Amino acid sequence: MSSIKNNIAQHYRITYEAYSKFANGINRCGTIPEVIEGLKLHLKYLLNFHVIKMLFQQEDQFLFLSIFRDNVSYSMIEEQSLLLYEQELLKNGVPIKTFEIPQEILKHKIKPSQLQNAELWAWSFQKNERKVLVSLVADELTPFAYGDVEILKLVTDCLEAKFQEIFLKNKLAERSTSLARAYQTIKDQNGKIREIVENQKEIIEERTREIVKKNEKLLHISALNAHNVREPLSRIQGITQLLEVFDDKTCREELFPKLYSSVEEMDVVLKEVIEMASHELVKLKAEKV
Amino acid sequence: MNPIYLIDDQPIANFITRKLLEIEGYTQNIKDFTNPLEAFEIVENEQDDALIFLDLNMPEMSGWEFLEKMKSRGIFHRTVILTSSTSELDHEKAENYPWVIEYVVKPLNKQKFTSLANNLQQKQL
Repeated sequence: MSSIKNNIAQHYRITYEAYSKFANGINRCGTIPEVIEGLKLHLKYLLNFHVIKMLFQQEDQFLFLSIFRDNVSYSMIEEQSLLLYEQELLKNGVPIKTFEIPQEILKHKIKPSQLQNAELWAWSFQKNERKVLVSLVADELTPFAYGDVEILKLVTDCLEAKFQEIFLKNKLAERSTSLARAYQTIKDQNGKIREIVENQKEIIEERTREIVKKNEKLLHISALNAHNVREPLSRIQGITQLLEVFDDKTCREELFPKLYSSVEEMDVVLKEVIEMASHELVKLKAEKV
Repeated sequence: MNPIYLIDDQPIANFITRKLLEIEGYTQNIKDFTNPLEAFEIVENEQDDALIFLDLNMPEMSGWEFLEKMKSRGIFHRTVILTSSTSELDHEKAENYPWVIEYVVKPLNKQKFTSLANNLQQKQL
């Protein structure tokens, strides 16, 4: 042991190896629980401590990480839940080293009576706009020294980077979920639009059918009318043919009266046709409205 | 002379046909009807080879119905359709009745009648 203490180069090499293992372990993690498992495994080889409390700023909240021996827990907390000294630290960033240890730090973990000259160390590290508050309790039995700050900072950086990665990943997943939801909504609405268009098409087809039917009806009426008109006309034509052939007496007594009555009849038919046509027109106009 | 039947709901139409027949020299054995139902009863019992002038548009019975009835009774007197309908469809429909020898659109004038009479003579009236 004493040979290692005396050999600073060797000491650093061992520390570097332990950190390298820690960093590799953390790097492989994809979720916070995995990170916690990594912490349980490796942290004890890097630092002496009783309790560590870390607060990673995440937008307007803090990821609260509590480490006591092999017990590691985490939760999200609001800024107003920070202890008084932590709020001070957040504001002024001045590191703390004190024997006055707030009750809350040790609560449910270790009794003050089990510690010998325990000290609270606290720092505010800043990285990319995000602050990390680190509190550490150590005592004479498990001493923490200034020389350990550098390694604690490295640990903090590594964790901060990993948590940031996890948060961004979660955010991305959330985004893609909401994108997928938006896509689904668009798809649904497209379906609705298609339905409406389909419906419109049907209406148009129906209207077209109605119009075709009306046209047919009108054509039928006009053909019927033409036929009705043509009938007395053909008689008039027939009689006028005969006029050329027969003598005056026959013409006067037989043909003319028939000619007059046919002309009369044609007039009646024409009047009927006109009336019927205007009646149909009025009806069509009414249907259009 | 073979009997000639004129069937048209308009008496004047029958009159015109009769006069035109007169001009061509047909004056005897001509019967005219304004009601096709009555006409059919007589035509049905006609023993000789008759010639029928048939209108299409009649209220009691259309010319088509008259032709169908002839078909169902197996009576095939030569028939001339004489109509004021200019419809091409009617003309085509007439082809379904082989004993219909002519389809004439009214008015039946002297010219049309002469060529019809010539046709009839060639087919031995």
